This record gives sequence, structure tokens and C-alpha cells, in this order.
Amino acid sequence: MNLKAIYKYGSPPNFYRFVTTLEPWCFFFGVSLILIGSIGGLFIAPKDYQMADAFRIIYFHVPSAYMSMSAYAAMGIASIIGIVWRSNVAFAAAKSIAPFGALITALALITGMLWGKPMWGTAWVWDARLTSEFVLLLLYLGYIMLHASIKEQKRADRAASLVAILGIINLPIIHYSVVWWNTLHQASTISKMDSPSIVGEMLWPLLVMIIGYMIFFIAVICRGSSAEILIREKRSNWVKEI
Amino acid sequence: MDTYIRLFSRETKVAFKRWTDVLTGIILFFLIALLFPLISDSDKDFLLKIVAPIMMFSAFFASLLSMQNMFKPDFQNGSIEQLLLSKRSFVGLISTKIISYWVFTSLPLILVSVFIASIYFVSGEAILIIQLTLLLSTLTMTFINAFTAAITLGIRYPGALMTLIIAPITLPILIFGSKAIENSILGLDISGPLYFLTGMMMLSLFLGPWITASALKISMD
Amino acid sequence: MNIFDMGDYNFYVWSSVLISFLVLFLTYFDAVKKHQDAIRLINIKNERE
Repeated sequence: MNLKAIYKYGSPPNFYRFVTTLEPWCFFFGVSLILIGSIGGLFIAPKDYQMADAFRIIYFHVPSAYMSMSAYAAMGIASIIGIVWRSNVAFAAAKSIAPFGALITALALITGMLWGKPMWGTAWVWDARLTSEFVLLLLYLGYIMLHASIKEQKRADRAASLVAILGIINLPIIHYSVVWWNTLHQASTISKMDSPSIVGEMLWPLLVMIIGYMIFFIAVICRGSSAEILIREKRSNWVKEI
Repeated sequence: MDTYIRLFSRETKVAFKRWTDVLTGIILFFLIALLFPLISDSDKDFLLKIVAPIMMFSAFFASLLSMQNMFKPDFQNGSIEQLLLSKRSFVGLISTKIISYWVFTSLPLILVSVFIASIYFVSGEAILIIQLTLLLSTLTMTFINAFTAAITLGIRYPGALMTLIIAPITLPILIFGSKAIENSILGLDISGPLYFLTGMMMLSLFLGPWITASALKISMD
Repeated sequence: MNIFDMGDYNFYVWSSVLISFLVLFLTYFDAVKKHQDAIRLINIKNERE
């Protein structure tokens, strides 16, 4: 990737222009893909012989779980870029990812519980994946609260970025410790909560949903970071011409 | 080297002067651990089952509630700024502060844990393992608490925020510490959790001062 | 057979659908609101000069 391109989009006015033109397209395509995927998953895909209609929740649970982790990775990368290159744009992007990430993680947990109850009879189990997802929610909330508690902009950015980066290092450690802890307790529940293998006619709505969620995520971030940039740069000249 | 010794002796004097701050953590640990047998059925089997998580939780919670004492008083009277301005390595000076904080708050806690362990009917070698586990985990937790205290330095009433930041990071330590104590009571192999705790301790020993120093620098300007 | 009927799992499936859409809706319109608030703020500032 051309280095000059990064610097060009790293400047606030260019970034703002780029993001505000990109956003309507992403919103349109994201929503369309999500609708297509939902219709495909809910009505067109055939009933699973084991789980009848309950497996259809997978079309909503898997994309949100996937997004919750991708969003955190994106937030972490944006934080690193912000600290290393002292980029206001990167910090704005990171800050706007956080609320989306928190809500999507909560959604993943809720849909997971709605799936678990009819599927395996229990809404929750303390295995590595669910526990890590719950901890992910705490990480997002900590980031948001820290940002909100520090009044000064630059300090809040850097402090919250440190927490985000620490979270990235921390997540694999937590996952591993719970796996280790579980192997001594209930080996059965680990395989119990595995996603069923999914194939063929049931697969395409899932892929469509995942891609749809991702594009929708980009649309939300475009809006959020453009708002953030405006607030941060409100004293500069290019903002006056909106 | 001389500077570090002087800083350590200064911390000692301060610890004795502000002995109420130092005692807060230890008393909290004591009370929390004592509360559980009082409010539940106190037969031996039940207590032996819950002593492992309770020990770890009490140590964690007590350190959480008293962690502001690490940097806040010195921040308010300007000492941290002085450390920042000195010619010595800031990271080294901060390490000395953190280690001296650990010496004065956690070492007494480890001694108190012997008494607590006997209340929970723990006997024999398990008591020594409890002390070893607490030694390793309090050291790790002190460095993690230092980072969290540094990041939340300017904030009023950071209670919930500190818990949110600290809980995910401390979770593995609590899990493995509790496992170590539980295994030693049951007579099972304790090397696994202890190795992990030692690993985490080493990690926090090396990364902790550096991250805390960065957090302090961020909170200071 | 009503295609909207999910059998025993009716409640679970449809509540997942509804809550997913609700959350996606929420995140997007929260971002839009922030953007419009920011623009309004900027306009007020501009008019003051």
C-alpha cells in the first residue's frame, strides 16, 4: 500500500471527505445484504433435521459474535496507530468503534443465550468462549467509561488506547486460562457448546449476513468517526466550510 | 543505586507515617475473608471447598479498594512530578515505589492469611502453598493495580472504572491462584498453576513498571 | 403452513431477529445523531463569527 495514501487520508479534512462519501454506499449495501441474508436464513434455508427452526438463530448470532471480535481488533489497531503516529484521526476512529463494539458484544451474548436455551437446555455455561465474550464486553465498557471520565481530550485518548492495547494482549490469556481450567472440570461442556457444522444451502445466508454486518459496521464507523473528527477539529479552518 | 535506596527508605518512613492507609488493605482482606464463614454454614467440608476462591477474591478486592493510596497522595503533593523531573530513570524510580508498596501492604497480608487459613480449617502443607500463591499473585496484582491507579489518577470516584479495567486482566491470576490452593488442599498436583502464576508474575514484573510509567506520564500533563 | 411459524422455537428465533435489528438500528442512529449534533454545533459556532 502506498505510504503517501496513508498520509493523505490521515489528514482530517481528507479523511472527513472520504468517510462521508463512503458512508451512504456502505449503509445501502450493508442493509441490503443483511436483509437478503435474513430472508434467506429465516425462510429459504431448509429446516435442519436435528434442530428444526432453532438453528436459524445462528444467522444472527454468528455474525454479531464475529463482529464483536473484529471490532475490538480494529479498535486496538486504531489505538496503536494513534499512539505511534500521534494521529487524531486514528483516535477518533477508535473512539467511535467502542459503542458499536459494546452493543454488538451484548447482542452476541443475548442471541447466544436465546440459542442455548432451546438447543442445550441451558442459557449459559462457563466455558472458554462464552467467558471470553463476556470479558470482551467488560473491556469495551472499561474503554468507554475511561474515555468518558477523563475531561481532557488528548489525555483521554492516550489513556484509553493503553487500556485497549492491554486488552488485546489480555484476551488470548483469558481464553487460554479458562480452557485450561475447564479441561480439569467439565470436558463435556466444551464440545457441547460447539457450533454445528454447516454446509450447502444453509451456508450462503450466513456468509451474506457476515459480510452484510461488516459493511454495516463500516457505515456506522464512518458516521461516528466523522462526528468525532468534527468535534475535535472544531477550531480549524476546514471545518468552517461545512 | 543510592537514589533507589533513599527512595525506598523514604517510602518506609511515609508508610509508617500513613499507617492507616497501609492498614486499610490488610483489614479489608481480613474482614472479607472472615465474613464468609460467619454468614454461611460453617462446617469443615464447605469451608474447605470455598477457601480457595475466597482467599483470592479477598486479596483481589482488598487491593482494589486500597489501590488509590499508591499514587494519589504523592500525586497531590507533587512528589511524582519531582520523580519525573529527576535525572534518574523514571521507570526505575516507579518500580521502587511499587515494590515498596507491595512490601508494606502485601507482606503483612500474607502473614495474616495464615490465621485466615486456620479459620477455614486448612492444615499442613496447604497453608504454605496458600502463602506462596498469595506471594506470587499479590506481586502480580500490585503491578496491575499500579497501572490502573496511574491511569485513573485524575478521576474523581474511579471505583467502577477501576474494577472494569482491572477485572479482565486479573482474571487469569485469580483463576490459577484459586486452582493452586484448591489442588494443594485436595493433595493434587500444584505445579501447573504455580508455573503459570510465576510466568504471569515475571511478565508483570518486566512490563508493569514500564506501562505504569507511561500511564503516569499520560496522567500528569 | 405459515412460513412465519417457527414451531416450538418461535419465541427464541423471532426475539433474536427483533433484538438484532434493534441493536443494529440503535448503533447506526446513535452515530447519525452524533454527526448531526456536531454539524449543528459547528454551524452555531460559525454564525457567531
